[in-house]
Amino acid sequence: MKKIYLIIFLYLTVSSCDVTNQEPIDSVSAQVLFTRESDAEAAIIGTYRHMANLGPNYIFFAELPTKNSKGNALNRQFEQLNNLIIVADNSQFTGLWDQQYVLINSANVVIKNVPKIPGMADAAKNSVIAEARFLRAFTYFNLVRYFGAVPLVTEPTESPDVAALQVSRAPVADVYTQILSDLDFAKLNLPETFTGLGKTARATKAAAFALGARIHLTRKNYALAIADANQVASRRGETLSVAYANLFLTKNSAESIFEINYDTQLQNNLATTFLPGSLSGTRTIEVNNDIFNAYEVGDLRKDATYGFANAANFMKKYSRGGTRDDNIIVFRIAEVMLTKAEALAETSYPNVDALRLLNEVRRRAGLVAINPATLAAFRTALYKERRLELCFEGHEWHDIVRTGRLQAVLGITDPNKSIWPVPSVEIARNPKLEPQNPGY
Amino acid sequence: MKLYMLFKCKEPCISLKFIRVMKLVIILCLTSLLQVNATSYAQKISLSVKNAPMEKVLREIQKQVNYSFLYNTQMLRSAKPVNINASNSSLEEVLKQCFADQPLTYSIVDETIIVSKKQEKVEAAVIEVKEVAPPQEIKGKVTDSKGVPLPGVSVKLKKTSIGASTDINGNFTLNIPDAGILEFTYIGFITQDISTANRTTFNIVLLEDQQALGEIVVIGYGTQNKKDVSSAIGSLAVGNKKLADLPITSPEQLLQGRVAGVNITQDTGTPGGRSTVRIRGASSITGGNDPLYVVDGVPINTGNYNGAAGGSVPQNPLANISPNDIESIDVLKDASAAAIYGSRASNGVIVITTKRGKQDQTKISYNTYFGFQEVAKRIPLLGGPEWGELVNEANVNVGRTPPIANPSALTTTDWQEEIFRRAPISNNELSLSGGTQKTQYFLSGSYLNQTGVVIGSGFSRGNFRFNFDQKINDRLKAGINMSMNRSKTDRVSAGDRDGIVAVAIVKSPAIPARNADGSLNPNDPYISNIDNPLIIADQVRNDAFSNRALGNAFVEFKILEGLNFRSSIGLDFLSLDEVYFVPPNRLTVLGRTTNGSGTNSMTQDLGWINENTLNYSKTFKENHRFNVLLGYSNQESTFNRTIASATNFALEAIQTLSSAAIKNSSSTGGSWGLTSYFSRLNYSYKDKFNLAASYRIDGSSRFAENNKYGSFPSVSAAYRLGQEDFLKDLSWVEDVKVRASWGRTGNQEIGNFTSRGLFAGGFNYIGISGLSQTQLANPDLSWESTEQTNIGLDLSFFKGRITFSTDMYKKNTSGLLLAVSLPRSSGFNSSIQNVGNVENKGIELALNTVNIDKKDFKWSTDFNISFNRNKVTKLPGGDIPLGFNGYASVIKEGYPLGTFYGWQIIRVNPATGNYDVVDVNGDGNIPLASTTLDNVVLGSAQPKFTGGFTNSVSYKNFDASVFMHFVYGNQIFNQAEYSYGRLHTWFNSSTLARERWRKPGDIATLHRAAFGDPTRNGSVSNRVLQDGSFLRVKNVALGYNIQNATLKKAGIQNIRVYAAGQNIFTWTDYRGYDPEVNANGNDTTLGFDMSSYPQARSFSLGLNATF
Repeated sequence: MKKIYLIIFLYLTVSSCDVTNQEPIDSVSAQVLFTRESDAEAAIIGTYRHMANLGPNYIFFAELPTKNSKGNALNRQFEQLNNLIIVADNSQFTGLWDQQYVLINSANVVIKNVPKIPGMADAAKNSVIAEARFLRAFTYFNLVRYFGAVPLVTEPTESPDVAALQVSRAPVADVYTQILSDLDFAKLNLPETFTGLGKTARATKAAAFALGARIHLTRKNYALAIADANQVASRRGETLSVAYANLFLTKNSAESIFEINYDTQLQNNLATTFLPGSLSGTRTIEVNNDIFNAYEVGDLRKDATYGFANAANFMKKYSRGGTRDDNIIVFRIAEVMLTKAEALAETSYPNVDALRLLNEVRRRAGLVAINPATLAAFRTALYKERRLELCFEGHEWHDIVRTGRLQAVLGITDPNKSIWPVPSVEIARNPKLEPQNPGY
Repeated sequence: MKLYMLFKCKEPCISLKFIRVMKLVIILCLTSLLQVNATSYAQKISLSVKNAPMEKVLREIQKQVNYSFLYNTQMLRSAKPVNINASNSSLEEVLKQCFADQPLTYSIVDETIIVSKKQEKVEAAVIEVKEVAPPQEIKGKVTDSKGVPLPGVSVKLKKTSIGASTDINGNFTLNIPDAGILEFTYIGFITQDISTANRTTFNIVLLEDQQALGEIVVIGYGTQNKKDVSSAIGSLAVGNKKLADLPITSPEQLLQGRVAGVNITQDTGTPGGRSTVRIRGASSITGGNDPLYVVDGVPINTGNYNGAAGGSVPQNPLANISPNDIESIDVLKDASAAAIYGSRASNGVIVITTKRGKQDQTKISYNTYFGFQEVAKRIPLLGGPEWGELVNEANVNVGRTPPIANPSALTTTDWQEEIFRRAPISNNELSLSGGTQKTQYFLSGSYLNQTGVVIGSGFSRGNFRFNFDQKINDRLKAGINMSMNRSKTDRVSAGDRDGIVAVAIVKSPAIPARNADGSLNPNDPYISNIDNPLIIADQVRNDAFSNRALGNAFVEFKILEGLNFRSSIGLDFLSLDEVYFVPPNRLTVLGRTTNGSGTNSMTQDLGWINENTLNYSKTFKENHRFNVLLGYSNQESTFNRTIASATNFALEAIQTLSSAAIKNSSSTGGSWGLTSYFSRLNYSYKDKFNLAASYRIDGSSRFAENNKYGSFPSVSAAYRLGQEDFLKDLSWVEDVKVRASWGRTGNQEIGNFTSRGLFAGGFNYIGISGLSQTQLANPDLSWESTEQTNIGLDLSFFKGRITFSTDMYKKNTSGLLLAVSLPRSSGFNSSIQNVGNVENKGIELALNTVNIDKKDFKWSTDFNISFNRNKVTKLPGGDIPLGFNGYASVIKEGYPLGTFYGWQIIRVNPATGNYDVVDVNGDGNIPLASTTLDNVVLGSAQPKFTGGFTNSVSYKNFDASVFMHFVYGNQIFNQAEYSYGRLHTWFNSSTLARERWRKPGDIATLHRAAFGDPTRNGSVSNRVLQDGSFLRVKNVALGYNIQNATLKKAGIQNIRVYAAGQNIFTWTDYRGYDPEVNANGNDTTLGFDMSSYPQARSFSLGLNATF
């Protein structure tokens, strides 16, 4: 009998084990994070990861509606964007909005929580926060260029309270104020350089100034654009020493300022989108003959940019079909030089420096120097150079809009079309975004 | 020796001591098994007589043995002369000879041989032995109809507390003060009342209650006699109905169409694939609607454990249980039956009881069947020339040059013929069962091998089971149930471009399957990223190996008469090993683009449960029967998965990932725990009124601190009008019972850590690991709660020859966990919150009749039909579009789950060949209708009614049954037609394409062919919805039993040979392969046929031998 009671007793002992307390093994609660310096590093790396996730769309959306490319029927979403038909179920399009805000929230988490980490030096904290603010500035700049007035969220999301999360749009000027404030902090606190793989894969001071130059050029603040471009020049020079083809064949070339790095653990679909079937791709985005025919004879960039297979051209800046780990060059010296050339010319023309910078880009392309007589002629030459130099790197649509050439280049007469509609799914989730952008 | 780590507790809560004790229990159990019950008549007799009078012979025997005889001399006079020739024979043998062909029989009680008259018919009988005056002491023996002593029979003098139980030999002794009525009760036997007047010795033959065998209903944590049941429970006696003889591979398929209120859809015909099992409709949107399965008391894990890529065919964890091992399945349908399982019961509970050994019935049973399967239907597709014309027309219509120069010169490959095959299925099963009074056991092993009807697919399973019960002493009982098995599934993908079935439909017929040299042709000049299905089957390896160990050990201790304590520990271990490999060659798209691709995935789920119950049964004042159950249980389940994948392989021959150049790996896991307190009261008054009430409190790790515990009450009552005198007098009325119940149940299937605010790793960049926020905290998250009311009526007429049962129910589920959409500017898509209500209401009817009940000819009919109406009654976030491309299904307030959504076609515009569709938003549909604003509700995948109809006939040694299954009023999304029926690319099409619009002015039913579909005719519309109603001859079985003396001599009790057919014929208007389909396996996107693996028609021959 005693044995039996023992058994009963032991069963009850088993029962006293509290099974209702379980902890996840593949994730952690927010409370236990941001207690050590390494948490800051992990969180900013996670933010870069979101940047890498949106990378392909950063390229596609700037190219699809232009005469650089043709989205074909194999991918209906690309086809629609090619024709600037934006329908609500285009997940590629809604993704453009969603991915950027995921990145912003991730940056906000870093910006809010890193200062709380005990025992971490202020300089180290500021360096990480500067990276987050750089990424946030970069992302809001893209958002404001595509959608105009957008919700300006600068605090991390912590509670699923729908009403509190329905944020109204901030005026474009306010968004830029935030962008520039983030950028100022980044310029001040970002490191000059990272070591190892992070050298161009993470934001440095040069990247912040390159972003500044781009923003100021967009807003036609030419003096500020020149100033930021000079900051880049003082660090990286104004000579193009890397062969054009090698910019894409080798990763993180000497010309690169900031490059989203991919590897076999973090792949993208750029190569498969552009390459033909014979090179493991689908060629759902084709090359538009308009750009193919725009190159001057002898332009080295043409052969570096295009291949030919199965009766049609394909774009080969992203060529790693097997490993799918092509990098995306976000900022490189040539762009900053062209930006500075444009800003200088817009300030005063004729302009020797502007011509020098433009012709340096042409020289690398194997072309002779030019000397346009008028500002208008210079503009034409510069816009063409920008297009051919930077095609399929995420610039064309923005350059067309920025320079007011929607009608001239794309035949779009409705000026409202320079801003895209906020995805209607998002308006349904947040009615405070109404009214929709005009023209949609 | 940190064995407690096995169970992942933070504290060493299972101590070593405990394990030692468990070992002891096991050893005790095993040694007792070896104690063979020694019963033999040791004394030997030598006797040789011819034509001797019976009385003389008996006296002679008495001389030689120490046995006394009890007989009536008068009676012996009717005996024939006796011939005996025995030397040194056992008493038994001599008596056998002595009583051969006599109108008399004998029985041995202790050392007394009782001679009695033979009964013409085996019936409840009292054998009068001696007539004496009212005695003080009475004694007797209780046997079954075969003369086997019954131990533990309750013998009670009515209206007194005097009673006893029979001993091992079935004997009892009782001292009674006065004559009265003796009541003999024994589970599974008909209770007998015998007057003690003028008798002291009783030889009682208790008759097995043939009906009662099937009428013990398994309820949660116990059993109940069916007559006492006040809730809605559906039972299926699997063994009785010979269902396991059918070529069915998974136990839930046994239930299909056989229990009212249970709707089972085999998702696809994939061998080893899942079924969607719904008891009284789906009550949850995100929380899962699978019922809780309890196998021999262990609630088992039944989630989808698929991990590897390319394995889009979900595993069926129930396929681990061999249908042959199942004794009965009980379905707890209403809340009062299910509420004892609390937070997991809102989808009903299916209780599976496996076979157990029976006392003194040693039985070896061998069952085998062999059959073949085939696909009954082909989709009529276009041949090469017609396909060529279609493609040319599609190009011309959009201003492109026709790509095919001479369509009429094209050849035709019948891809369906290439991929479908006649495939064998076989099953072999051997079981051994038996036992003594103290020990019962059941052992079985089986091996099933099924080749799939689609090339490259198959399923095989080896299964072993051991059930063991041991009575240690009068108070203590222990037992073990254990099953172990391993299965292998050769999977085929269901993908559009790499799924064998899908590709066979859409691939151009103009491409030859083989090259001139006989090798398989990998080239497709039209669509480069679509494979030759024969090459997929030949080259791609996609296997899943599943191992499962499921079992429990229990001890039961009788504390007092009527008060029992039972404790058990159960274990459910499942591991799934998936191997996927595409060799690095130019034959497949993936092989070409990735230079070989492989994935290995290992998944393990270990669950344990400890249950402790106290059960008290007592009858007060004869008429008041009480049963009280108190229980406490703890359960924990831990899940782990490791996935490794790689590309760029060196060789085709080496499939291991170490030979690849690019490797990726990940691992994940999760766990949950549930602590429960439960109680139940059953009360019965005079067998007329029954009342049951239960109350359970569950605490789950899945919920936040604020809502960790939930309570789940239920009550039910039944009134047996049939027991009232005014109905008892009507001889044709056997029973009339009305029932009513109410209860609340919950659903905890919401994912393990849904309420937490979480950060996860894996957000890596440049080789550095990164973290990101993945989930927002919701500390108020709570259970989904279902309240169900049920009223029922059970009728039984003409001694049970007509039984009818009906139930009406209403099930309201509230606090549904839904992903509430958040503005994406938050960085999040959604958050799970308790919003939303769903309602199910319905009627179930079941009618069983014994139409003919002659000695040689029996015919019975079972019919059941269920009507369920499902409706989403509250959806605060507005419509949730789901499904194909995000707009084929919708969750919409006021509509059922599985509502189809899309464009409503008015006509094919004769001028353009495009569809005119209903313009909901009034924008003129210019240039095209909107895929969000012009959608309307097109139909529902919910059937209006479902049911089954079985006819069973037996004539002498033949038996036959025909089972028909029907589903009416549902619609199916035919994805194959959605895809190829768009007429927009190089896909082949069905002959339906002949109806297309060709030139302006045509009045057509199908849109124009247009390459790239620029005018979006292919969008989801009522074009792709079809009526899914069907009536199917689900199975037909014919058997013949051989039972004769020759076989008996060879030790064979019975041989049954049988032939069975599955899915013999289906009447349906559905144009796809099979209307029984639910490819997504869920309720929100119900009724999708994604070019699914068709159900096979099968024929089999089997043999069942019992030794």
